[in-house]
Amino acid sequence: MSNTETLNSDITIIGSGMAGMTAAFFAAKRGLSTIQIGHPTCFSLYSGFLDLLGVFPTETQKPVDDPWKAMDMLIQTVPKHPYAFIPKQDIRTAFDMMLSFFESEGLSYVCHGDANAQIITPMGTLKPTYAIPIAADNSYSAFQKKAPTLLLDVYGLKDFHAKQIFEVLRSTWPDLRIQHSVFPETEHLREVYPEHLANLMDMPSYREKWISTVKPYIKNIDYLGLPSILGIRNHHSVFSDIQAQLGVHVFEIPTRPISIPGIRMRHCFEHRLSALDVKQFFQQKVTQVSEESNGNFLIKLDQSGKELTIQTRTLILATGRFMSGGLRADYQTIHEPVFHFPICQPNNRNLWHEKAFFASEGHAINKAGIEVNRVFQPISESGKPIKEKVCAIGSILANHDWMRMKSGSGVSIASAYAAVNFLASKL
Amino acid sequence: MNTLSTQVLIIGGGATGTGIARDLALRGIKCILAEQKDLNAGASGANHGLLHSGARYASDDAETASECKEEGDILKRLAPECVDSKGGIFVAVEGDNEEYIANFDSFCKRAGLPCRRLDIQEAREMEPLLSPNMIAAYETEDASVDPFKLSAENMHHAQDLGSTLLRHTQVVGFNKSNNRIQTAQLLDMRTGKTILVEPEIVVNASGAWAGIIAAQAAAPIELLFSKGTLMITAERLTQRVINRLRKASDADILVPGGAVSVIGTTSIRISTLDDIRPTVEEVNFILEEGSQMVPSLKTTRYIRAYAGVRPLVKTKAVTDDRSVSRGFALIDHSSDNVDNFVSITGGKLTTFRLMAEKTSDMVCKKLNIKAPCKTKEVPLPTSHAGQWTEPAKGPKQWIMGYNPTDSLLCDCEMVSKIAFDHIIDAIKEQDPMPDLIGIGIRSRMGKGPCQGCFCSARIAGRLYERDMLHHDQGIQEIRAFLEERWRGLRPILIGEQLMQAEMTEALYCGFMCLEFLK
Repeated sequence: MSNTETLNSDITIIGSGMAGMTAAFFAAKRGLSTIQIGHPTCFSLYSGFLDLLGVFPTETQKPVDDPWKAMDMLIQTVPKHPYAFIPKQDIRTAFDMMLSFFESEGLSYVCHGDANAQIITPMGTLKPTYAIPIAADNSYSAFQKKAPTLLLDVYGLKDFHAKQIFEVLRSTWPDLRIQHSVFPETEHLREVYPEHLANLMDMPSYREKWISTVKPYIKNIDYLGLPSILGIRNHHSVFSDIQAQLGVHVFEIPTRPISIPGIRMRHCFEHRLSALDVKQFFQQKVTQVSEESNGNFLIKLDQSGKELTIQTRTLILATGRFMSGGLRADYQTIHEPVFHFPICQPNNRNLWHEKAFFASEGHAINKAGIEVNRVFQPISESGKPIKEKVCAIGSILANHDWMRMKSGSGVSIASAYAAVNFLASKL
Repeated sequence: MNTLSTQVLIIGGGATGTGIARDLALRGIKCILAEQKDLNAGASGANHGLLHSGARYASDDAETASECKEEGDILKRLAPECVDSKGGIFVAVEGDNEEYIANFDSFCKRAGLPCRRLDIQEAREMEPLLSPNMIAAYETEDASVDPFKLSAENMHHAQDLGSTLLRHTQVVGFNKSNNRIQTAQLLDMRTGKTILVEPEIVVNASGAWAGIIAAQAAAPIELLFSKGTLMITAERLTQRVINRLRKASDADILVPGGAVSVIGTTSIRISTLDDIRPTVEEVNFILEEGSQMVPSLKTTRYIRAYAGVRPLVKTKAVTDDRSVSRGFALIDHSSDNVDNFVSITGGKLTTFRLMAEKTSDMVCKKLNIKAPCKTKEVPLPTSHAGQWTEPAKGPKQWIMGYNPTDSLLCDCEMVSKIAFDHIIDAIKEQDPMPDLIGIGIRSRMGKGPCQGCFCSARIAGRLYERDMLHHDQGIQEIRAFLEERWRGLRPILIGEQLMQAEMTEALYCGFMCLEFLK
């Protein structure tokens, strides 16, 4: 039996967060033979919201109403921001493609015209975001109307407290009420987890039981709010089913991780990408990347003892930042471990972080990353592309701060779109 | 205005202040202890947690050395729950002073300290992470002590005997007449309310702040401030306390404490007490120095750093901070024309009990009360709420005591809702507003790798559920807690701890937008 195997592809994407998944989708949709390598655990951290641009300038720490307008100002002020490299129309196209992708996978999104909407978080704060999963969007109208609403939390679910949300919002929302609930068949458990509850809710028989325990609470309310546990694979039917049976509008508020809306996104991607014949290699480590004389790349993967080699004509690096290992930091410097691309970064560690965690300007380290040209090729200090057929996308890019600007999904989707277009033209 | 009468007003809730509160309470004297922040907010909470055998002082100061030995023995006997007595090793590496090495055991003998020369092989078997460049080693009786548990239990005991703790309460002025402090004016930092206290005696045990407090009574004390930074590793590196076998210097003590180790300290002269925080430069320095003793200190993961200020009582011709008296200064301010005012400052954690005894003796003399000190005989009781700083306690409670209504609020350190409820209840007995930082001081909350990322929101949620937080108070609490953790995180953020910090920012800023609130 052979211990080595070689696969060929037009494009290989290293990374499986929002940027990597989106790039794999765009590439496969264009008919490119696509391979993806990564470990998509990050989706369990995603809220499910698709941000475009929530705050600018960052120092204001105030939400912007119209992300498209704010983008013009952003590009003028920060000419190296990833958005500055992509025509606005392309950003729209890319975003719309992703929204219809999710829609076709049973995960509908709602946008409020060109404006950001403020959505309730599990802390009772409001987050500006652009596209909202339909199951979360009802919280927007409930809050706007200050409608009679009941927030339900779940005994043993420790990352979601209705009381906390209630206290923060109650002065502006007098008709908000709360209720503890025990989920059927979990009475004996000290702790319950969102995945566990969501899987139960996916089952129609369980749902029936759950609905009968919740029904008594449905009195004099227009809206029922819940933590995000309304199913994973059958989310769409869970959501419409309980709305119909309870006779009220229902909304979800994302829990702190583990976050089910993110896991739903991951399922959408995995389902569609496998249908599009993308070969995915997850939970595996890239051990070596080398460039051949013909300009192709050889990627070696360690597949529990068996060595797998991928020969690819183009490559996208979408490995994310520190959390996912796309960037690494030691006491001296920040580096990128796959290609060792130069990392634009502050001069020394003392400048990485501000003295205050919540400092209004954000931390300089979050703007460190790979500098690219207008087609997302990583560039050297002189501004020249380092590799002709390699692009970098998503949060690993320099000169943006996705956390403070609330622009994570937007930068990922837009840069994935631009990079795939460019690399496709090279094939 | 609220006016309280008390026999003794103690200012400062560190090891000394709480020690005095217990000592006096055992003599039948009730106190009010006012602390501007919370227990051990100053140097008492920002040290190694080392119970010195005395060996570190044996060469220069035999008296201090034997004092350490005596006090260490008392604490091991009467407060065993607070002490981890695994012993210590003094290690010299290539280049260290050979004369000092050769004379070390005779210094120890002179001070009456047990000390055994180890051969290199034996030392390495005892502590495998010691440097391959080790040239000499001695075994000593050093131990670790949990300063938070110690102060918390001292205060609990005093409270059980009728004394009062006022947290977040600052002394803002004294009203004097007839050479006496008649009243002390206190400010509740959270409510902004003023409290008037009529004490018979005022004890100033405010550590580095002693000069500022004494000045309010027009009694000058001249102090020097020496800032020390320390770092906490994610794993316990050694079983024993490791000291560098050389004249006391920087970053040459590694102390195990529960599941972690602490390396430090630096020693930097500073002129003000504002904005005390560990810096990147200090961390870099500690890594260099410490790794000479234990090389893996350079590569191991750190959880955080922290900094404290040692108050040093100024004497003539000071050159080096370590040669300034680390013995304590007990000052009777009668000489400054304030008859009922006493200051105690300086000293070290190991000898806090002795400092409390001497201070209490002076207080009793002034009160004309004849009552002997009992802290040499009476064991320190352990309380229900004071046990949660101990790392093993949470996991034990969670695994052994199944309760269907319980859940783990702190996953890193395995502290459950029921455990937190004990702590919250204990704070609430004398304070209507339990705070996250206060809960953190009394437990393992925020001490694990997550540094508050998951637990702070959960515990705030619990406080909301228990009706102890309202409106956006929980958000303010979480912000304050994360900022407090951040001070210690910022200089050590690389590798995995940087990933964790990024996750915290993604969650609290990226998702929940806590940066929007001021």
